[in-house]
Amino acid sequence: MTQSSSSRLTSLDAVSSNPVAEASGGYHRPLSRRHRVESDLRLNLVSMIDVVFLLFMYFLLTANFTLGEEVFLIDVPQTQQAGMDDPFELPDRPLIIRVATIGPGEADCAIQIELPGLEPTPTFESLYRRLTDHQVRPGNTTGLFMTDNPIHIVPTRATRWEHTVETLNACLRAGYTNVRLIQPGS
Amino acid sequence: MPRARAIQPGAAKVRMNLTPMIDMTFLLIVFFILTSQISNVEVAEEINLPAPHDSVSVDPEEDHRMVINLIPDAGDRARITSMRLGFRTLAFDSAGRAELRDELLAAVAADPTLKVDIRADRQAAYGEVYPILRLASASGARRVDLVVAATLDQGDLHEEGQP
Repeated sequence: MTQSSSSRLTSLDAVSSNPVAEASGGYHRPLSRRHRVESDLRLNLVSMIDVVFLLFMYFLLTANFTLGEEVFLIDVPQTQQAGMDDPFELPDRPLIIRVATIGPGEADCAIQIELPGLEPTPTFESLYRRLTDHQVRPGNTTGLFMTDNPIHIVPTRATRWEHTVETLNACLRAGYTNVRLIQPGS
Repeated sequence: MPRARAIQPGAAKVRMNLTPMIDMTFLLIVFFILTSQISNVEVAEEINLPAPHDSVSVDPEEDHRMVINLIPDAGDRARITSMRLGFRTLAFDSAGRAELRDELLAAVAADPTLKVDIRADRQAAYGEVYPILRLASASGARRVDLVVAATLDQGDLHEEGQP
């Protein structure tokens, strides 16, 4: 009698210390010796994977798909109707910039601003500085060109596209607004 | 008798839970459908876009635009071999350019606010790109945009650092 009651007490102690049994709302099932050693506590990964993939899809769909691209906006001049030109407006003489690729490297190009007395500019940074120096603005005594003065970029047929775009970027960066790419020169 | 069932002799019953696999499959299908459409229309991986220093380029607008991809020759990247317009590939010859012109005119007639994006390789010769620039601007499109690779410049870092 005493022996059986002590064995029952041992069994109850084992059940109360089992977290699975506690989590199941007080339902106590007698556990075997094997179950006392290996716990039945398992994590259900299926629902977690589902939720992770749903979140993954959400972020993919809401992400920006431009893939790190930007654009240079170039307005195309609309055809003007007859009689729309101002007869008193002086024609703006375009500033012509010639660009030629002279080697395989990224910096191998020759840039020439068609202005009397100007040496060819070796880099796009120096082109930008010259364009800024010759811009009409308060306090600048060497200013020659308004920001809306037309600039015509004239690459050669063999000029690489990256050099053409770099020239365009230097002009726009200097603040000029009327920049055009012209038919390739010789 | 759970214990008796656990040590039942004979071949083990291996079951596969198909539910998460089906979930995953459907998610992957949706993902590939969506991304493949976008990549075909807008991205041609053969093109290595120019990346100007201290660029003043801006983010593309999310409005109606037509993207013309100028695909360079694999051997001589200065030459352009074909043009990709959405899902269509056009030859880079007089017939292909005539077809492109017709496409552009039809698209501008359907939407006068259409903008045209031109994606050309950084090594492409200007003499090859220029006829397409002319076609795009002569089509009556509102704007012709030149696509470049976005670069993180020093100026961007300063702007981001400012409160």
